[in-house]
Amino acid sequence: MNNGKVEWFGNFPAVVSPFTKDGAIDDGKFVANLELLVSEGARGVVVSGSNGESWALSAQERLRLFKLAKNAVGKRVSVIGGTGMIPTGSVVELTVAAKEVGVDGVMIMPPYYCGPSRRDVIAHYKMISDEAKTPILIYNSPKAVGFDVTADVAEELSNIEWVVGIKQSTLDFTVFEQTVAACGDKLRVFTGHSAKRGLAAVIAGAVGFVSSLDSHVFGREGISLFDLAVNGEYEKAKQIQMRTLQFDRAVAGIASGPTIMKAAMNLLGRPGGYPRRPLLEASRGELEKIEAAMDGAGLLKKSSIAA
Amino acid sequence: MNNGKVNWAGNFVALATPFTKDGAIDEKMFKANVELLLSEGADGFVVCGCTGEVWSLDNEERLRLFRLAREAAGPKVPIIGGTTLILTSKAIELSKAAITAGCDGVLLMPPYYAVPGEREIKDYFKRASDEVKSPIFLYNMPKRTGINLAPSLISELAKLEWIVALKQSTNDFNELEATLAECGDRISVFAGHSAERGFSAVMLGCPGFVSSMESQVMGREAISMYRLAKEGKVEEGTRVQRRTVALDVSMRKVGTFPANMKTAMNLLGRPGGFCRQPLLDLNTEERAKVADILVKLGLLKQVIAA
Repeated sequence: MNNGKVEWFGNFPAVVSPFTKDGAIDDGKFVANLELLVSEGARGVVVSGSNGESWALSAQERLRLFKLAKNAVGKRVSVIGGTGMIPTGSVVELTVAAKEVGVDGVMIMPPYYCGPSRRDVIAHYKMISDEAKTPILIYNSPKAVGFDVTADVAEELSNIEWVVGIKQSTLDFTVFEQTVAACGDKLRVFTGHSAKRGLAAVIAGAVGFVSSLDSHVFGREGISLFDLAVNGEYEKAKQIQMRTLQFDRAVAGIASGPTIMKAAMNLLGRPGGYPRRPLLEASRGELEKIEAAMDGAGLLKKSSIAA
Repeated sequence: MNNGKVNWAGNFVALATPFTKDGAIDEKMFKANVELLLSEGADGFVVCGCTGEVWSLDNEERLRLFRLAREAAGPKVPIIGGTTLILTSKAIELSKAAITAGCDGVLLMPPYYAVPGEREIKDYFKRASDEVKSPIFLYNMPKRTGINLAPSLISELAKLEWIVALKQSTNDFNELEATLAECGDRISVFAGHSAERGFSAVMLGCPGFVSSMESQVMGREAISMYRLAKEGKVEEGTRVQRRTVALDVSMRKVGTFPANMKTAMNLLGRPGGFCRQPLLDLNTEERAKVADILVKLGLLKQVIAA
């Protein structure tokens, strides 16, 4: 239940974790990316989400990224740390540590892979809330996690003290709308997939985006979508939404999400860096397709950048 | 490519990891389970698979369980250690340590949750084969990982030097057959979901299966299924298979797995123990349902007040 605990509002990019070619975290690029996104209008950042390849980061590395983020932009925007893992005890431990390094809240998905029941999921969040006492943004991404936080489940979770919001990334927009209706008064409802439906989500009652390709690749233009939508500048917002939507469609399936995003960022001279194994950097063929999609969206100054 | 590296065959039981009520590993129960299953005819063990709540165990705990299994099973019984981790480098590191800890091979599934593409999956296993240099038991479990290794991809992975076997847990029986046809001569294709199809899989040519629910709940009766199939005892074998199907189908409707299996084990006086959070133990109502299932199958004499 939020009850005034946080006032999260606006576009919160889920930031990439740039690695060097041999898999080390590239601190310089990580901080540069945060500075850039905040200068372009981000009002918060989510560190170590799926976009940040959270699965590839140890607990110590996540904490270090939280600290870097807090020091770089923490005075200007909200910093949310992704602390999701499978064993409840480990999530509690990392969440408490994240609170100690000063994050404004944490983002946690239901435990994936272990096939939990609804009762297991509720108990998971309840335990984290009771133990860590810090604002929790639930992350619902049923496709990756294998458990769906429907409106009904969200409503039940909204009664837990420190559950203050939800990043609703269900692909089913009806479920998104139902979530706003069921618990928009108790939770800050953010939408995922803002490149596809950010405008519609704001109209349906979203108070923010956890964005990815649209902010990292389109920069200021993509980030502005939220404010335009909130201010009722629908025509402008629609134009941008069409561009991010088309680009998202054009690159879908070329490679895995972070691989595509990092390649596109690098092509633009933005601080993307490399992914970490098991994800691989884009192959030559994949890079050509990504470049073509970017060219199609008019994102590249020239149509021929050496691959 | 197996090429004589291992001669794994039979019923390999994927072991439960019994926890105490406060979440510690109950080592005594774990070893008792290994000994019990061996006495009932198990041919090998998978330690730290999905049945063992691998997602709840840290690396040290996994290595400890590998050592305990080896101690309990003696030197000759094949022990496969579940070493899947999402990060390629960490999975390799743990796999090497598992072999040192006494495992004959490691069970590796494609990195779940990171949603890798085919090129990334190949890279993951190529690296593992090149660096671990010990038998790797490939594990295809689309329901949990969200990734289905198609028979053609498995066949390609089967060319890697140290990929010697596969646990094929696709629900699609046609794909199990296709896998056997494509690479059954190069790797040992074990069937998953043996409670549903273990008997038919062996009749079809699988050298074995990885079992879970039925072996640990029904014990000797279910474990005998592999030998019945090898001996061509169709009538007896299918009778057992029907009972394991009945068990599995009704248990799927109660709580989560392996919490439901552990409850059944405990009700029967077998060493199941508790689950570790995020999985909770079954509640009273669910426990009563499990007891009812066991009674209906004649495994439990009467409904024990939960």
